[in-house]
Amino acid sequence: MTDNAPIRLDREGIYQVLKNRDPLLFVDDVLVEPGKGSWMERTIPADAWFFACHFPGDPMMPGVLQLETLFQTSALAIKLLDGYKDKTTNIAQITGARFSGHIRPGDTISVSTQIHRFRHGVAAISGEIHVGETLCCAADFVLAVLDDMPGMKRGME
Amino acid sequence: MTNLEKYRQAFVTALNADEQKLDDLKYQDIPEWDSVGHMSLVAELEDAFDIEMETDDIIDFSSYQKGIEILKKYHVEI
Repeated sequence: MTDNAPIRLDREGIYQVLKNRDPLLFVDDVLVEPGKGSWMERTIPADAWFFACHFPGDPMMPGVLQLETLFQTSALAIKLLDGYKDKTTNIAQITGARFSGHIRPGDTISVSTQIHRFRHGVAAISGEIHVGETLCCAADFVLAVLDDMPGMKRGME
Repeated sequence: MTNLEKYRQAFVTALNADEQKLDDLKYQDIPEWDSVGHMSLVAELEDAFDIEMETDDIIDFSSYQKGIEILKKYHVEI
């Protein structure tokens, strides 16, 4: 793995670097530029488990799962850096999130994330999810790699 | 922007700290200055002053005042 070349990961490749598993795995076929960002298009299955309960008769993807999609997609851009495959990324902060469109059964979402800075184990990231031209979710957040923070008191552990 | 202004701005940006209460601020005095906030603060300072801090200095950086002392090692006078 290199710091520069974009890498395409299918589900099997994702299993090699992410610990998430169904039904809480929301990424598939992701294009990753290590240290910079990641992109994905994915069709949300009409029979996805959360539509039946969120909400009956008015199914839409929960906002919290949209955020999780952004976290997982962006985490791949860190974990594909040399030496990071086996390190865990933790969500440490959400500095802003906006939801402006619904994601319905069968919708194809376009996910993009950008890492603005990754240093000392702290990554400042922004991400967006679109359905077609409609922006459904935009968020700014921080992922932390605790293994990169030696000597600090680790309140998250 | 003076070095003092850059220094104070880093605390505001990284920790969302109240600028009126910076002088006595210590690590973990506010929820935002936890281990993750600390690393964000260090990164802000490195960008602001174009330096790269050593691990020992990052760990020793325990307060607003201590940071001023540490930055002198990097030829940054606040």
